[in-house]
Amino acid sequence: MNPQWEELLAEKLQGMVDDELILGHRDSEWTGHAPILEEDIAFANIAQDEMGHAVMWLELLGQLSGRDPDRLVFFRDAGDYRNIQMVELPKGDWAFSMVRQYLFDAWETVHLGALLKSSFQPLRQAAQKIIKEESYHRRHTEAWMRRLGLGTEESHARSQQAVNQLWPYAFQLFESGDRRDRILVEEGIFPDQMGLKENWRGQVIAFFANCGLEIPKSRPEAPIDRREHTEHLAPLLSELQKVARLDPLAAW
Amino acid sequence: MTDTQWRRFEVFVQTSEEAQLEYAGSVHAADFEIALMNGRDVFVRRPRCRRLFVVPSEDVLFRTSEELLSNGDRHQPDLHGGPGDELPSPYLVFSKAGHRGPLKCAGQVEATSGPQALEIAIERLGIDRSGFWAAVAENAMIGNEFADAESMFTPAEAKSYRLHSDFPVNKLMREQKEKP
Amino acid sequence: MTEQERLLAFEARIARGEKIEPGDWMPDRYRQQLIRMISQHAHSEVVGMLPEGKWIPNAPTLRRKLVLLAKVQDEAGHGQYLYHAAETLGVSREQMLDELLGGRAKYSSVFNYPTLSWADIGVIGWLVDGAAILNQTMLARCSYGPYSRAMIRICAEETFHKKQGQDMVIRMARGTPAQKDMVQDAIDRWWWPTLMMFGPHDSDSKNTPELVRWGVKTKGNDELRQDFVNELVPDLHSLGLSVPDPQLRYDTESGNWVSGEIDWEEFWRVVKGDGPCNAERLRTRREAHEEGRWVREAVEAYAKRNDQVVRR
Repeated sequence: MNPQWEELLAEKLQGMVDDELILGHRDSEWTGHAPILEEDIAFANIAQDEMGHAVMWLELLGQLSGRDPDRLVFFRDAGDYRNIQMVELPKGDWAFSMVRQYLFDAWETVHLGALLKSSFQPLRQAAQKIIKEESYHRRHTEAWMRRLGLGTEESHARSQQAVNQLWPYAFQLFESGDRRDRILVEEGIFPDQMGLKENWRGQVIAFFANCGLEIPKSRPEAPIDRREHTEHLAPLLSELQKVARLDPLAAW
Repeated sequence: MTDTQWRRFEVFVQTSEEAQLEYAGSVHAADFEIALMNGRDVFVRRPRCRRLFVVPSEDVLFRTSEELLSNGDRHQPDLHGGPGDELPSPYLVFSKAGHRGPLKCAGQVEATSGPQALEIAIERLGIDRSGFWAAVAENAMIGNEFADAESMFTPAEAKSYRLHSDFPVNKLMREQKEKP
Repeated sequence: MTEQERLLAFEARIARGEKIEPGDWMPDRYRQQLIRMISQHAHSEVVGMLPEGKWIPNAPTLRRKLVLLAKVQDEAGHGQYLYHAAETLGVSREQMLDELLGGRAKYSSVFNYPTLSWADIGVIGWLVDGAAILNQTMLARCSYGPYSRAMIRICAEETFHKKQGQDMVIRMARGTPAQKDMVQDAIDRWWWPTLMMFGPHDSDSKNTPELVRWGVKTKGNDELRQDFVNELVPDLHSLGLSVPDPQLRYDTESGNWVSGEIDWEEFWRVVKGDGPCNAERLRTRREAHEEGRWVREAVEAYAKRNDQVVRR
C-alpha cells in the first residue's frame, strides 16, 4: 500500500484501538460490583472481548506502523490518545454503562459490516473474526436495554437519563477528522462514515422506541476532534499506566 | 432479607457434534433469554460447545437410584416432570456414568410424566444402586438457535491467554534450578 | 429402617467410595456441615474477586490485563458453581447472600488482607491459589456428588491460575532489582496468611474427625500445610527469594521444611472478622448489592410482565 495511505489508515486504526481499549477498561471496572453474580461473569466477558478487539487492531497497526502494542498503550500521554470522548466517561450506574455499550455495539456492528468489504485484506480478515463475537454482544446488550427501558419506572428513568447524556457524544463515532481521509474511502479501504451514521441512527432510534426510550432533541454540536478529551482521560490513563511506567525497561 | 436472586435454571450442554448432551449445572436468571446467555457465560468459558439448553429448575426431575428403588423419603419438594399431558411426549433421561462422571443423556423415552420416564428408562437400562438420574420433557428445554451457535461459542476457543502453553513455568523453574 | 441403621448404611456407602447425591438420605449434621463448608467456599470465591479485581485497571501489559480479567471472571464462575452445589442441599442463594452481607457467614480469611502492589497478584496466584489447589484436590474426592463435581471443574481452572501467578513471580524475580524487591515484599506479607488458609492445627480443629469419617476431608490440615511448604520453599529459594520465617529449617530425617509457629492470635482475630480488610470487603459487597437492587427489580418486573412461557 502507498505509504501515505498507510499513515492515514494507521491514524484510523489508532482511533479504533483506543476506543476498544478505553471502553474495555471502563467495562472491567464492574468486576466484583455487578448487580448479580451472573453479570459479573457476563460483563467481564464483554470487557475481555473489547480488549481482545483492541489487541487485534493493535497487531494490524503494529504491522503498518512498526510500533509495539504495549508501548502504544502504556507509554502514550492523554494528548496522543485518539479515542472518542464517550468511552472515557466514568462508568456511572448500570443503565449508563449499558446504554453506552449499546450505542457502541450498534456502531461496531455497522462498521464491521462495512469493513468486511474493505479492499485491504488484513482489515477484512480482522473484521471477519471480530464480527462473530459482536453479534453475541449485541444480543446481550439489547436484552439488557429492553429490560432497563421497560422494566420499572426507576429503571426507565435511569435509562432515559443515560440516553440523554450519551446521545450527543455518540456522534463523534462518525466524524472523519481529516479531509485527507477521503482517499481511504475512494480506494475502498475504509468505509464512508456518513453512510454508516444514517444506518446506525435508523437502527438505534427504532430500537430505543421498542424499549420505551426517546432520543433527546439536541442541537447539532460542533464536531469534536479525536485529539480533544474530557478531564476523565488523564486520571484513567494514570491508573492504566502506573505500574508499567514504574520502569519502561522491565518485563512483566 | 435480600431480594430475589432470580429463578434457577438447569443447564445442559452438548460439547461437540458427536457428544451426548450433558448436565452442566445451574444458573440464576429472570427468564429464558437471560438464562441462555448466562448459561453460555458461566459454562462455556473454555470447553467447546455446540449447543446449550436451559430448563426452569422446577421442570427437571432429579432422583437418586435409592429414591427410585425405595420410593421413600423425599428431601426434595415433590418435583413433577414438567407439563404432564394425557398423551405421551418425548422425555430425555440422564444418568450418571460411574461415581465421578457428570449426568449424561442416556436416551429418549415416550412418557406422560417425569417419574414414568424414569421408570421406563430404568427398565431398559437397569439400575445401579448408587446411580443418579434426571428426566426433562423435551418441550421444556429451550436451546440456542443453530444460527447463533457460532457467535455464542467460537470466541471462547480463540482466547489463547487461557492456554497452559502460554505459561511455561515448569520449563522456567528447571532452567532456574540448573543455574550454577 | 431406624435412624441408626440408616446412618450405618450411609457410612457404609461412603466407605465403599459411593457418592451421595441430592435426594439421598443423609444425617442432618452432614447436610449442615456441607452447607457451611460449601457456602463458605462460595463466599470466598466471590469476595476474593475484590482484592485482585482492584489491579485489573493497573495491569502493566495487555496480556496480563486480559489474564487477570479472565481469572477474576473464573472466580465468579467458581462462586456460581459452589452456590449451585449448596442449593442442592436445600438452602437458597438468597439465604446465603443474606448471611454473607449480614456479616454472619465466614469466608476464607486470606482475602481479608489488602493487595498493595502488582507483585501481590503474582504471589496470590502462586501461593494462595497453590494452597487452595491442595485443599481442593482433596475435596474433589469428597463424598457429596455436586460438591465433588464442582471441585473437579474448579481444580482444572485453579491450576491455571497458579501457573499464571508463578509465571509472574518468576519473571519479576529474574527482572530488575526493583521488581525483585516488590515481589519479595509481597511474599513477606502473604506467606503467613497463606499458611493460615490450611486452618488450625488438627488437634485444635473440632470439625475434622467427623468430616474424615464422612469422606469430606481425607487429609488433615497440618499434612496439607506441610505439603505446601515442602513444595514452595525450594522453588522460592531457587529464584533467590526468601520466606519470612526465621525459624524455617530443613529436617533431613523427615525431608520436611519445618516452619516456625503461626501467630494463632492473629489467625483467630481475622477469622472472627477483625482483619485489615474484613469491614471494607463486606461494605463493598453490600454496596454492590444495594446499588444493584433497582436492576434486579427491573429484570424481575420485565420477566413477570412478559411471562415468557415460550416453548419449542
